[in-house]
Formats: sequence, C-alpha cells, structure tokens
Amino acid sequence: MIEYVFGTIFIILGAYCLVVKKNIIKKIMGLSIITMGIHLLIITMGYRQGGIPPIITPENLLTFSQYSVDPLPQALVLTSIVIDLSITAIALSISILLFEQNKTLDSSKLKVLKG
Amino acid sequence: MMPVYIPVVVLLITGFLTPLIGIKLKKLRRILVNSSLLFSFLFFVFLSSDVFPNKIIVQNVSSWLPPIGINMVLDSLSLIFLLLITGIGFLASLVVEKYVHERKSEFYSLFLLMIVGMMGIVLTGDLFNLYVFYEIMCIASYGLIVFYRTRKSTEAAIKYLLISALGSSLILLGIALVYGLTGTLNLADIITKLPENYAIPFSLIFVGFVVKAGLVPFHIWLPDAHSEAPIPVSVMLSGVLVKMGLYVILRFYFLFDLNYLFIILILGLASIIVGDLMALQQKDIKRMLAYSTISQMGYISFALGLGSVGFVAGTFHLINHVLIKSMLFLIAGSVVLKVKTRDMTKMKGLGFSMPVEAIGFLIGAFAISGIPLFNGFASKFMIYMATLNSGYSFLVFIPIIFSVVTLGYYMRAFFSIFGGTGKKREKTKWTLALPVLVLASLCVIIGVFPQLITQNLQLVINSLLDKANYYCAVLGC
Amino acid sequence: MTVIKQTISRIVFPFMLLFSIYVITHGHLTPGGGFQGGVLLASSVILICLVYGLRKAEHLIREETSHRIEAVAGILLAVLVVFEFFIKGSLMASESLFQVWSGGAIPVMNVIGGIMVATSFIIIFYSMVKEK
Repeated sequence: MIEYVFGTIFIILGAYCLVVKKNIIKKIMGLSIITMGIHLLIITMGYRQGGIPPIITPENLLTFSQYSVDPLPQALVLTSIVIDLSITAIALSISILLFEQNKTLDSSKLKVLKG
Repeated sequence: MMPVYIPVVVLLITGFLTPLIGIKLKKLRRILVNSSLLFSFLFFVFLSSDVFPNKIIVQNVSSWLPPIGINMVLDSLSLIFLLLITGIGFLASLVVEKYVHERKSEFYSLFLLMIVGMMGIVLTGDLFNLYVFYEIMCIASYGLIVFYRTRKSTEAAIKYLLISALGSSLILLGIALVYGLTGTLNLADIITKLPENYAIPFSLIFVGFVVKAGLVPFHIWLPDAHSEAPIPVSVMLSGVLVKMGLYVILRFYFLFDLNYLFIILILGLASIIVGDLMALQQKDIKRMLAYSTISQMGYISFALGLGSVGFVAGTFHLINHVLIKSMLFLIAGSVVLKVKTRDMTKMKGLGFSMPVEAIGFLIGAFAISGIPLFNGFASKFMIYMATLNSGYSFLVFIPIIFSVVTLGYYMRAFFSIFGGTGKKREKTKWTLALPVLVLASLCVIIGVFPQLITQNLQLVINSLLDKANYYCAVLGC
Repeated sequence: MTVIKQTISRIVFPFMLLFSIYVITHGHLTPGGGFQGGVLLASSVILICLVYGLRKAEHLIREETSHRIEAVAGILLAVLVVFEFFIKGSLMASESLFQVWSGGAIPVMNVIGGIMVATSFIIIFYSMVKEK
C-alpha cells in the first residue's frame, strides 16, 4: 500500500522538475523520474500477499501459480525501461547539439521560433 | 492466405539493409526503398477485397491463442489507414533524393522505421503492443526532425520531444491502470471484462493520444516541428502521423463504449478557431500549413464529436485532408527548393515558371476551403449537414465562417507566391511533379464522385458499430 | 582522475565483466537476460572510459570494432529470428529443465542480444564524449 504513495510522489516530483526547472538536462531527468514512478506503480499492482518471486525452481514446480506474484507487469516494465532509455539517449544527443549551437543550456533563452 | 504482417517484416528488413547497401550501390538503395513501399501498398490493395466491408482477418503471432497470446487484427478501419500510410509513404519517398544530400542511409532507415511503427499501431490487437509500436514511431520522428541540425530545428525537436514523451508516459500509466482493472491486455478480451467505473484509465490514454493529434491546448509543438523538419518528413508528419492519435481514439470508441464525444467536440471547436486565426498571421509558408493542419484536425474532431450522425463525415474529411495536406506540403517543398527561402513576402511571380505547382496549390486551396467540385466540399458539406441534424445545430456558424477564413489565407498565399510577373516556364522534374499530379487528380475525382467513398464508408462504419463482430473474430463465439 | 579511482576501477573491472557474462548466459534461469547483461557489460567499459579517458578506453575496444561487432550481431539476430519463427525447430534439443544448456533458442538470443546492446551503448557513449 505504501508503494502506491511513493509511486505517486515520484510522478508528481518528476512533473515538477519537467515544468519548473530551467536547465534542459534537469527537464530530461524529470521525464525519467516520471517514468520510474509509473514503473513502480505497475510493479506494485502485481503484488500478492505473501507471494514468492516469479522464478520456477525445482522445489516450487507444482505450487507455483498459487504463490507467485504476477509476472506480466514485470515483463511490461522491462520493455518500458528500454524505451525510456532510448528516449533519454536521443534527448541527451539533441541537448548536446543545442549546447553547441546556443552556448547555453537555459530553456528560457530558446526564443528563435515564435508566433 | 498470406500472413498480414508481411509488409511490416519486409519494411523492417529493408530498413536495416539500407545502410549496408548504401556503402557502395547508391542507385540500388533508392530503388529498394521505393519498391518496398510500393509493394506494401499493393499488398494491401490486393488484400482489401478480402476484408471489405465487414470481414476481419485475425493472425495469431506464434502458436499461443488469444487472450494469452498476441494477435494482429486487420479490419476495414485499419485497412483505410494502412492504404493511406503506405500510399503517402511511397509518394514521399520518391522525393527524398532532392531534399536530403548527406547521410541518406540514416534518413531512409529512420523513415522506414517510422512507417513500420505506424503500420504496427493499426495492425495490432494487443494493448501493450500498441504502446511499443507507438514509441517506435515517436522515436523515429524525434530523430528525423533534427536531421538537418540547424539551430531552429534543434529547438523545435527538443520542444516536441519533451511534450510528446510526457504524453507517452500518460499512455503507459493508462495502460497499466487498464491492466489493473481487467487483468488482461487483449483488446477483444477487455470488452467483456470492464467493470462499472472505467473512465479514469481511458481518460489518461485519451489525453496522451490527443497530445499527438495536435488539438488545442496540446498543439504547441506542432507548428515548430512541422515547419522545421525536412520536406518528406513534414509530408508524413502532417499528413499521417497526427491522424494516428485519432485512429486510437476511434478504435477505443468503437470497442468500449466511452462517452468522451462531448470533450472531442469542444477541443475540435477550439482547434478550428485557434488554428485558423493563427494561420492568418504567418509569413512562413510551412508554418501556415502547419497551423492549417491544426484547424483541419479540429474539423475532423468536431465532426467525430457530434455522435453517430457525424462519423462518416469525420472519417471522410480525414481521408480528404491526408490527400490535400500531403499535396500542399510537396508543392511548398518544390517552391522552397527553387527560391531558397520560406518567407512568402519575398516570393513572387512563380506562377509562370512552375505551372504544375501553381495549379496544384490552387486545387489544394479550393479543396481545403470547401469550394464545390473538389473533395473538401463534399466532406465539409457533410459536416455541416451532420451539425444541423444533431443536437448542436446552433454551432453550425463557426465551421462555415472559418472555412471562409481558410479560403482567405490560402488565396493570399497563392497570390503572394504565384502571382505577379515572372520568368518563363521551366520544366519540373518528374519525380517532383508526379506525386503532386497523382494527389491532385485524386482530389478532383473524389470531389466529382464522392459516392465512391461515402457509400463504402457508410458500410464500414455500420460494421464497426457492432462490437460482437470483432469479439467473435478474435476469440471465437 | 585521482589515483584512488583508477586503482579501484582497475580492480573492479574484471569482476564486472564476469558478472555481466553470468547475467547474460543464465537469463532463462535467474532474473536477467540479454538486455540487462548487455547494459552491465557496456557500463564496465564506460567506467574505464570515465576514469582513464577516451584514449585509454580505445585501447580496450575501438569504435570501429564495436560498429562491426554490432552489425554482425544484428544480422545474426535477424537470421535467428527467421529460423526460429518460420522453420520451428529447436536449436538446443535437450529437453532438460533447470540447466544452462536448455530452453531452445532462448540462451542464443540472450547472448546475441546482449552483445548487440553492449556495443550499441558503447557507441552511444563514445560519440557523446568525442570532441567534434
């Protein structure tokens, strides 16, 4: 139950970073923090009281489906971590280009396109 | 029968073979990309007789049956979108050689990956597969917008990336909550397992896809991104990619009875007003076309939000807008290539030296404003009639007035670019003129005979409103 | 970088390599697999690059070499998927459970995927650190 609260706090803090901070790198970090909070929420959804990790060993071959936690959200989160990683990689590459062209990483100085 | 995912596999393999071939054989690379896109288009044309209008093809990927396994579903709504995606993709890939001069292999790979992502969204029957293909399409588009590495396109790309990635996170959260509510991720299986109050997860997914569709107030990224991207990328973005958000909203409306039509109506109305009023003030031709995209997406959403009287009108206007906007962006590309500037006040007298583009722009401008004899008139007239037939008949003035505004700024653009005295005629190369001619003739043909499309669309929408069709095809009755 | 960091990372580096290979090859028995082990493998090389500089890390693995390894791994992965999907034979035919040498084509896909992910991240990091 407490992990749901922590997941929501992560999402709110990440949204705060994305909106309020002026450095582009901090905004990208805020985006990553939002995704991490969502992952925490997803994994907590699959929990079962008194469950075992979803790994089949020779001992629990027969009683596996009664006791294990849900493995499907964990597979979703693995895929989603990869996707978040590629978004962070391309966002950081674009911010390197941005720094080379504008000599600053301040997002309030990006005023070329308007109207 | 051939498996449905063959074009996806072919395009993916071509996308990864292109850098290998591009080391030595440059002509072969271009022929390979164009022919693979043409093959995908013809594959779906030949498959259309099997699917249309109310049959569904289901393909189970690997030997596990749904609802445990993943399946691919091709029904008539998907088929319309697939024909549009592969058709416009083929026409846009014909002109790539003129606009991209360095690092062409990377451009082709990213372009094909974006098309693969789009095809995957419309072909899948599983909720998480939808998210993965949606992210493939988004990441490829982030890389394509910043391809020229100029100062403006970098700024446009970082803005687009931050807003669009936030939308994707909302979609992921919504999908996770749907899984928590129902316990399954298969689209057909969720139909029967939804509990009573299911509005919150789907509203999160709705917001995520509306960010991509470019409706007000989530439209901030659209003018920058569509005007600073290379021209083939602008054609695909403004033509097809913004429609992917509306596809998912339509699909979820037809499968699960969500009642967010009123919100789509309000957002559409706001988009019409904001898009047209902002487009009046633009001097840059691509930025004006991007704001016009926002406005026309508002028309489509307004029509879809009217309820069951407006579905045919909205889908018809969607198809028309894909054709018209792609043609307008291709023409804008030829003009910019010739004059080397995007400022409309500095161009004049091009009507004599580029007659093909001038006539095409005139056809596009008349079509998008709703002048009779072109396809925009048929769809906009259906939207007006649907407004009068629904409960919101007092709102009919707003689309009509803003159609006149649309005609106003397009005519101003036309006379600014193509009017006045100019040099004599120069021959346009056939690779730039052929897509424009194809799309212009389609506009005129659909405008003169709209029954070709509307009767079939009526059958398609009638078959989509029956959910048992989809459920029985996927899971068996 | 200071002497402390250089000494510690020189000691830790072989253990990181060994642990990443363990995570990759035991992907079907314990948590882990291709992606996770590949990231660990890449981060060991990135650690050397951060602490010793780009020139010393190029002695370890050059960017050209990692481009070629990634391309070969990509082609092998495509061939493996085509094999597994359409021909439907199992590559490792021993049907025993809970052993390393079991599970059909999954360990092969883990190894190839791990190499591909590791070289991709090395290329991304090198191109970000390089000057112009």
